[in-house]
Amino acid sequence: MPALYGGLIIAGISAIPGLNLINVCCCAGILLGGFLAVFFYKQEITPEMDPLTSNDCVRLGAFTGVIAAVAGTAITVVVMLVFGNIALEMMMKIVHRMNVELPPNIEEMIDQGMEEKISFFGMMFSLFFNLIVDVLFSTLGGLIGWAVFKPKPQYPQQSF
Amino acid sequence: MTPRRLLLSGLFLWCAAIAATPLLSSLGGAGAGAASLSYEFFSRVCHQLDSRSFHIAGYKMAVCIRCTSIYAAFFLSVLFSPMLSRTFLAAVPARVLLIASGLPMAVDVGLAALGIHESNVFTRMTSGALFGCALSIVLVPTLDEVIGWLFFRRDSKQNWQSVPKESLNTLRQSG
Repeated sequence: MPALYGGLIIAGISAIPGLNLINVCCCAGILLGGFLAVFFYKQEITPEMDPLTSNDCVRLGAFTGVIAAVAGTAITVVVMLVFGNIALEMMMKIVHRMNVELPPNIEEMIDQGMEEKISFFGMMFSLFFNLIVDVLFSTLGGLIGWAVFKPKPQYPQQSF
Repeated sequence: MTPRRLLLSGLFLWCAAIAATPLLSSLGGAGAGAASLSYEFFSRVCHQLDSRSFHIAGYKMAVCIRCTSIYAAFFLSVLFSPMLSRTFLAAVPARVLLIASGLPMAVDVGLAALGIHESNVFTRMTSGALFGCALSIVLVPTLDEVIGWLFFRRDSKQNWQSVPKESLNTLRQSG
């Protein structure tokens, strides 16, 4: 369940236009999902259960990434079918607000991109790349969660 | 081969892919095709705005200046980690380190998005490098442990031994 929550959070951040701008900051949204999965899992641990380990965090992060990739791709497809490529439109508005000048050929490519419809091949391609990126960064997010939430050691830590 | 070396190899390949992409673009033909795949892949992690990226051979790198600084700083910090472990930074709690290093970047990005402050190459590079260094200090000990768990085992003298593929599944099943 923690992986599901984290994965859905990532999927929402990645797929919802506007929110997905968080991911341009080096996948901050995906890292956050992995981190939150560990946080939610830690809330469920009772004193009778085994304590949190780094392996748990890796598994959580990886599962979160898989769920995020699948759910995110599905949500993106639905949003594009219903609303069109409004994510790109919002990105362009912010680019113009930041006074970034784009070369004319780039603006033309972006205008073409906004008019393109989604294809099955494009969707599969997107899913494949999303799986790699989401699993990788979500696992890193899980490891950041481990670094923050790990039980305090009883013995001196090894330095790295 | 040790977990640390495997980690460094992976990081080097990631950074090399970022830097090699514009070089491939400049070659044209199959190189340009490979470069477009690389740009497509890295578009998942970065906005890749031309005006906010370093350029090699007239083509932009696969990620922006800030992302390049984060990855390069992370790689270099892992490379020089034996020196970093002797500094006071290794004793700082992870959440403090992450918040302190992430704050300049968040402020720089936030103010630029609101149109209040125009971030420049210096602010992007320094904020990205700061965060990359802090991330390596926080993550490297755990990454060593996890990579060791996944691909290696320790012999009787506590030295790393890479695990043959047929033994890997048996080890994982036995926990």
